[in-house]
Amino acid sequence: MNINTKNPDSVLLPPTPPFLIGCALLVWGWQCDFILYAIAMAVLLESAQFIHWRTPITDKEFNHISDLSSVIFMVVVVYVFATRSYYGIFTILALLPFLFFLLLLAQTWSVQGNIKPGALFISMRKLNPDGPGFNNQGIDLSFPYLMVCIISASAGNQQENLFFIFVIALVTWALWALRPRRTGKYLWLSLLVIAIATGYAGQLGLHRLQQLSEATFLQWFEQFMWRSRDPNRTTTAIGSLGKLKLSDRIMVRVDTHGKKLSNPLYLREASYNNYGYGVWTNFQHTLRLIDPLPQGRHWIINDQITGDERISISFYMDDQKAIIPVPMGLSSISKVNAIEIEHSPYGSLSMELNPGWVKYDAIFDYDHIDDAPPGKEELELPPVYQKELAELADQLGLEMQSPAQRVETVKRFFADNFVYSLTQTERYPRGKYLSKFIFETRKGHCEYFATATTLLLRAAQIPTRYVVGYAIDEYSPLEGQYIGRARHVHSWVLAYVDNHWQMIDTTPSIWAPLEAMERSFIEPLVDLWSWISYKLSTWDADDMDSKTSSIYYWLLVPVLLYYLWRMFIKDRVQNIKRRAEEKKITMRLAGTDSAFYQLLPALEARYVPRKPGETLTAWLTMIEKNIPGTELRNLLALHYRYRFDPVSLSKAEKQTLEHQVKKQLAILG
Amino acid sequence: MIRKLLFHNFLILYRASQWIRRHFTHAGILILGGLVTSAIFGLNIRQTLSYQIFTLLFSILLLSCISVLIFRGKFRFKRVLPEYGTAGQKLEYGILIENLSPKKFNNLVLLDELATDLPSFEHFLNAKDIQDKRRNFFDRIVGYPRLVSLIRKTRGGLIQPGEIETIAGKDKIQQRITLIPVRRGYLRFATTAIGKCDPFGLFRRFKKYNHKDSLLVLPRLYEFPPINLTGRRKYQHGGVNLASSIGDSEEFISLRDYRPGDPMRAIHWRSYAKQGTPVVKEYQDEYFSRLGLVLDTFAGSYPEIVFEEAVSVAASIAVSSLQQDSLLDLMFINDQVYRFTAGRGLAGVNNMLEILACVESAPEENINELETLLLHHTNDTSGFICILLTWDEKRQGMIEQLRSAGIPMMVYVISMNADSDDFRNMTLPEHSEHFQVLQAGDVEHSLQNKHRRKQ
Repeated sequence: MNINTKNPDSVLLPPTPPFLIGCALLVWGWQCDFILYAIAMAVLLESAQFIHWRTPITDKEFNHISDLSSVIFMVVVVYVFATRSYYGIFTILALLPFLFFLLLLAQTWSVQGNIKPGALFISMRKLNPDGPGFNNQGIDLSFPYLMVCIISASAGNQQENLFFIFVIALVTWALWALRPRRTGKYLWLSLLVIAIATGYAGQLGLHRLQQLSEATFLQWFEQFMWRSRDPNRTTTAIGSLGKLKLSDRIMVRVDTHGKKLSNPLYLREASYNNYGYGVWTNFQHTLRLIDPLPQGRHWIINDQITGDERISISFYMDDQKAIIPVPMGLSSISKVNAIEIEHSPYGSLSMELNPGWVKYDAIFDYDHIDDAPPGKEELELPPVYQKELAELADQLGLEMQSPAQRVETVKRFFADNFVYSLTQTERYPRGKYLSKFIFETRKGHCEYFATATTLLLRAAQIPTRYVVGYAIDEYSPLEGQYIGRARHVHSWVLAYVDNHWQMIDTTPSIWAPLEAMERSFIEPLVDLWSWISYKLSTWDADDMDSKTSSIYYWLLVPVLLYYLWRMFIKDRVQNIKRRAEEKKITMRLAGTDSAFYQLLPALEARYVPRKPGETLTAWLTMIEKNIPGTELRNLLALHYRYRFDPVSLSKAEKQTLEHQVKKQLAILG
Repeated sequence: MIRKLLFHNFLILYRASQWIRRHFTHAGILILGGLVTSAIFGLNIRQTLSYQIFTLLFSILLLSCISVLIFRGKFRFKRVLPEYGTAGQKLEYGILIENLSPKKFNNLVLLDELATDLPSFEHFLNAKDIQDKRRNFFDRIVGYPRLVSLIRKTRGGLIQPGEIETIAGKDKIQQRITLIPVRRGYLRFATTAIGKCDPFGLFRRFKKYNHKDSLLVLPRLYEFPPINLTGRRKYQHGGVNLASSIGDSEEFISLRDYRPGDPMRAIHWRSYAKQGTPVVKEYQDEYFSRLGLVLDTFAGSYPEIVFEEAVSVAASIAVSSLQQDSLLDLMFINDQVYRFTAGRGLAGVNNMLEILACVESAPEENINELETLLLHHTNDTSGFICILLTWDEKRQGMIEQLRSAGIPMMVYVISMNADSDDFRNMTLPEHSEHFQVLQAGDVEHSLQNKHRRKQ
C-alpha cells in the first residue's frame, strides 16, 4: 500500500514556461501598435531566464508597487473616460499590459518570485497573517498576466484570422504547461483539436447572432434609451404627480469672455408648434445641411443676422450626433471641428462630432430672431382647450387690443395670478391638466407656464411656438464662467408679433432660486469633479493654450514623486531616525554615562593600562595591591549596579558615585 | 430588510464561490476569468476580437466538463484520525482509499469535508469577528468577509484537498490530508468526495460518500510563565489517597507526545532522536498544594473571542501548572457547578484539556453560584487562579471577598481593549503583580509585555 502525501492546492498557479509571456507581449504589441514597447517589455521579462541576479523585495515594497500600479490605472481610467467617454473602455483594454507590467517586472526580478495576496487586495493586508489558513502562500502573476495580454491584444485591429491563430498558439502552450501529469498526450491533443474546431464554429455563429441582434435589440435600445433632445418631439411633465426632481449635473458651460449677464441667457435646443396630451411636436421638420466656410471651422447659420455678441459654449454630447444649445438670434458657429452641422427652420442646430465635451463659439444678435415665419400650425389649439381659452381671451379683452398689447396683457395675467411650484398633488382627468392650471390651481413649473402662454396667445390670434433649452444665470467662481445644470432646463415662448419673432417668458423669475433650494449638499464636490473631468477632456482642444495644458501634465509629477518617495525612501528615512533613537536609548540604558569611566584614564596612566576585553574587576584586582583602602572596589560595585542592575541606582547613590569619583580623581591628581 | 436581502444574496454568493472553487482547478478559474472578461469586451464583435478568445475558451471549458461527465469508479474510505487536535495547529491524518472497481484511475482529487451549517440571519447579525477591526470600512459594513469567517468557524477547520496521481484497480492507498482546526470542540466530518480531473486539468467531477467521524480539538495553548502564588500546603480531605506518594520529590511517570506549550526542559532527547518527533517527560508532582483554576463562563454580552481566549488561557495555565507541584481544580459554572481535579495520580492534563475543549458559556445571572463555590473551597485550596471575562463590580466584589479570606490569588482579565482607560481608572487589587489584563486576540503579546516589565 502506498502512502501519498501530495496536496495539489498547496501551490497556486505555477510560473509560465520560458518565453510564453514574451510571445504574448509581442502578439499584443503587434495587434495594438505597441510593438517597440512590447519588444522592450518582453526582453525585460525574459532576460531573467538567462540572468540569475535577483533583488530582495519586501512585502511592503510589493504593496507600494501594487498601489502605484493602481494609481496609474485610476489616472488612466479617469483621463481616458473624460476624453473619450465610454468608448475609452477599449483604449483602457489595450493599455492593460502597460498598467500591470511594473508588478510583474518586480515579481520576475525579486528573490521571492511571487506576490502575497495582500499586495493585490488591500482588504487582506491588515488581516492577521498568523491566523489559521492555507492562503498565506504567494501568488505567481505570470499566468494571469498572460491572460491579460491575450485579452488586451483583442482590442487591436489587425487581421482577424491571424489573431485567432496566435491566440490558439498561446492558449495551447499555456494549457500544455498546466495539464495534469498523468494525462495521455493523444487524448489531450484530440480534445484540443475538437475545442479549436468548436471555437471556430462558434465564431461564425456569433457573427450571425450579432447581425440578428443588431437588427432588433439595438434598434429598440436606441429608441428607448435616447437621451439627446429630439427636435421633433418633447414630452413635458404636465400632469405628473409628486415633486419634480431635477439633477444638479452640469450640462452646459458658457464663457461670456468677461461680460456679466444682467438677465438670464436663453440657449435654445428646439422649438415645437403642436401640443396634445402633454407632448409638444413639430408637424413639418427638415434639417438643412450647412457647409462650412472655405477656411473651415466656421459655419454661417443665418447670413441675415449680423450679430456682434460672442460667447463660447461647452456642451456634453452623449452621442455622435446631437442637438446643441445655441443662443436665440444665432448668426454663426465657429471654432469647432464638427463633422456636420444641420439647421432646422425652427432654430434647432444638430451637430455631428465625437461624443464628450464639445466647445464652440456662437455669434448672435439676441433681439433678431429669424426663424421660419409662422404657418397655420402656429395658431392651432387642441380641441379640448379651444372653448375655455377663447372665453379667457374674451375675459381679458384681448380681441380689442393690438398684438403688442395682447402680449403685455397675457404677461401681466400670468404675473399677477400665478405662482411657481415644482409639486403637483392632485390627479386630474386626462387632457385637462392645463385647464386646471389656468383656471383653478394656478401653480406649476415652467412647462405649464410656457404651454399655457403659447396656447392663450394662439387663442388671441398671435402665432406662437413652444421653445425648450437652458436659462443660464449661475456663475461659477471656480470655473470663471457661467454654468447650466440639468435643473436649468427651461421652456419659454416665441410669439410672432408685428412680423417678427419675439421671446416671451411668463414663468415667475423666482423659479431659479426655488429650484436651487433643492440642490444637494454635495453639489460643490460634484461640481469640482465635473470641472476636473471637463478640464481633462478639453486638454487637447485646439483653442486651449498649450502652455496651460502642459501645466496640468506637470501636476502629475509631484504625485509620482510622492509615490516614489513612499516606495523607496520613506521607510528608510524613518528607519534611520528610529535606529538613531534606538541607539540613543541603548547607550543610555547601558549606563555609559557612568562617572566611573572618568577614573579609568587617570588609573591607566598611573598603573597598568587595561587590556582589551579585560573586565574591570580583573583589572582592578591586579592594580589594587598598589592602592590603599577599598574605596575603588566600592565604587566599582556601584558602577556595576548602575550599569547592569535593572533597578539601577537611587538618586543619592548616583550622587555618591559621582562625588567619590571626583574625590578619587583629586587623589590621583 | 436590505440587510436580510444582502444576507441571502451573500449565502447564494458563498455557495456559488464554493461550487466554483470545488469544481474548478486554479487553471480552470484562470480560464473562467478569461472567459467572463472576453465575454464582456466581446459583446460587440465589431469593436474588438475578444469574441474569438471567448469562443475558444468556452469550447475548451465545455469539453473539459463533458470529458468528466462519466465517472464510474467505486471506492471505500476509512479515516485514520489522531486522538486530539489543537486549535490553530496544523495536523495530518490519513484516509485509506480502496478502489473497488478493476479500473485504474488517474488525476484524482480527494476532498474530505466537515459538516457545514450555514448561519441564520440572527446569528449573522449578532456575530462579532475579531478580524473585523482589521478590515476596511466597506467590508465591515457589508459583512461578507464576516459571514465567511463565521461559516468557517462553525465548520471548525480547513482541509486541503489531496491529489492522487493514480490508483490501480482493486488497490488500496493511504492519502495524507492536512487539516487546520480553527476552533476548539468536536469537529464533525461529514463526507469524503473523490473527484476526477479532466485531461486539460481545468474541471473536476466529484463522487460523494457519506463518511461520518469526529475529532476533538483542544483549546489553543499559549506559553505561560509559571505562576508563583504565596500559598501554603493545605490539609486535604483524604489527601493520602489523592497522591501516589508523599513528599517533595518529583516522580517520573511516563513519556508522552509533545504538545505546544510544553517547556523545552521537559523534552526527552533520546526518545526525540529515536522517533523523530518531540517527546516529553511527564512528572507527577509530590507537592501537596491545591490550586483552584476558576474560569468565568458568564459570556452573555461579551464577544465570543473573549470567552474563547479565556478558555485558551485556562488550558495553558492547566498545562503549565500541572507540570508544577500541585493539584489543580478546574471550577466553572455552566448549567450546573463543575469542579474537576487533576494531578497527583488523578486525572491528567489531557482530561482537563478535553473538558476545556467542550466548555460552553453560561448566563450572567448565575455568577453568584461561582462566588458560593469558591467560598466553599477556601479551606482546602492553597490559591486561586481566576480568569475573568470583565472587571465589573460583581467580579471585583467576588475577588475582594476571596482576598479578605486570606487566599492568595492571581487574576487574569481578558478584554477586547486591554490598553483602554477603563482599566487604568479601575481599582486594582493591592498586589498589582497578581492582576493582569490580557488583550483578546493578542494574549501572547500581553504576556510578553508583562514579562518584559517584570524584568
